[in-house]
Amino acid sequence: MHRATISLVSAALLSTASFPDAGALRVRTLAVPAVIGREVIVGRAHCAGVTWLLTDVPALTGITIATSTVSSSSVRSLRPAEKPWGLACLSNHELWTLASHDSLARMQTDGSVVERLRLDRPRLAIFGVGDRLLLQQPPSSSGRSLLAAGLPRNLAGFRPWPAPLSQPVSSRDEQIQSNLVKCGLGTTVVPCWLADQVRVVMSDGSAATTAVREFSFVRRSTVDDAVPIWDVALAGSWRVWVLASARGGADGRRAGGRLTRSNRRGTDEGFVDLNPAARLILWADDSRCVLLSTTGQLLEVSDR
Amino acid sequence: MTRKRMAKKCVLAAAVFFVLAAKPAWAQPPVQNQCMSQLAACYYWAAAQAGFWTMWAGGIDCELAMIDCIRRSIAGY
Repeated sequence: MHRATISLVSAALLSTASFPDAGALRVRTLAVPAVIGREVIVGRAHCAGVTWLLTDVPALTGITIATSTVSSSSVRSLRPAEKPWGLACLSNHELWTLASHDSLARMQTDGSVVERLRLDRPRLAIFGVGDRLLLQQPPSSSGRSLLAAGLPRNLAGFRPWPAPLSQPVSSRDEQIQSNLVKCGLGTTVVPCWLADQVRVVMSDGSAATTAVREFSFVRRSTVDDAVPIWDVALAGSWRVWVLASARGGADGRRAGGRLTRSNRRGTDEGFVDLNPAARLILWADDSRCVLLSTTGQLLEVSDR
Repeated sequence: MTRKRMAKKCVLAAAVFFVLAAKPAWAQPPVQNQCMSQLAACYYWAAAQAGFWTMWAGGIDCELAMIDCIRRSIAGY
């Protein structure tokens, strides 16, 4: 009897240790009309209080969380071969996308392309960090920086980003799959990670202040091993929101299944399983995180 | 047109059709193994192009399409 009681107490303690503060996060749906359809979102950026989403229609959608307003425009003036990928919003509010593998395009908020820059080499992805663009170059040999940052009109001045570094691979198709970088939301510090890993690099470009954290708690849920971390948002100088992927949605699309409130040390401070699943994080501060659900609604997760 | 040339054209048309048909609809990101089968079909199409440079350029287009496909599968939201 005594032994059984001890076992029960131990089991209860263990389950608390595995899932600290489980249930402490609350989810509510925000009263905003359906934000976006089923089109694939190929870029996301946040600046000046607005989260911008670029879809492969292509269309540019702006979501202002504070006022619960949404605006959408078609991307215009693209050239026939151009297929935009990625989105960066710089501190001067300029919106940039990769119009093709070797050209950048600047868009206005109404979706019109107003400037083009020819790249010096092919690029795979684009993100923003403060006033700089962060571009991913195709992996060459292993151990090389996969990202480079610089001002958009000074491509010669781009400098390697401290990490992630390219991974050794055994086959041609693995070369892209294992070296594809995803970056989440941040301002002067951005979180970036290799798509198939749970190690996140939080950097402002300086090697001295770059932090690398292993968000191992992500694997406690049934994640999609090809992309265990689906999205990340940094808020303030401490908070990190981590959206873990979910395995096999109803329609086969990948999405985020569990949101964990973490910090720059990488510890689990509580999580919530999302139903419906989330497509991505739109905005976050220390105590709240707003996500776009797979049903097109805005979900607010908070600790209050 | 000889029977051999006609057969070659039919195979080419089938390969092109396969590549286009396998191209993902905009509403659905592809799954990764689709990307590799599309690449194989695309290489087949590129190899059948007339002239070295056209073949070479076709091969590069295939690689870029494969990269875009994998990127949409893994990083498309």
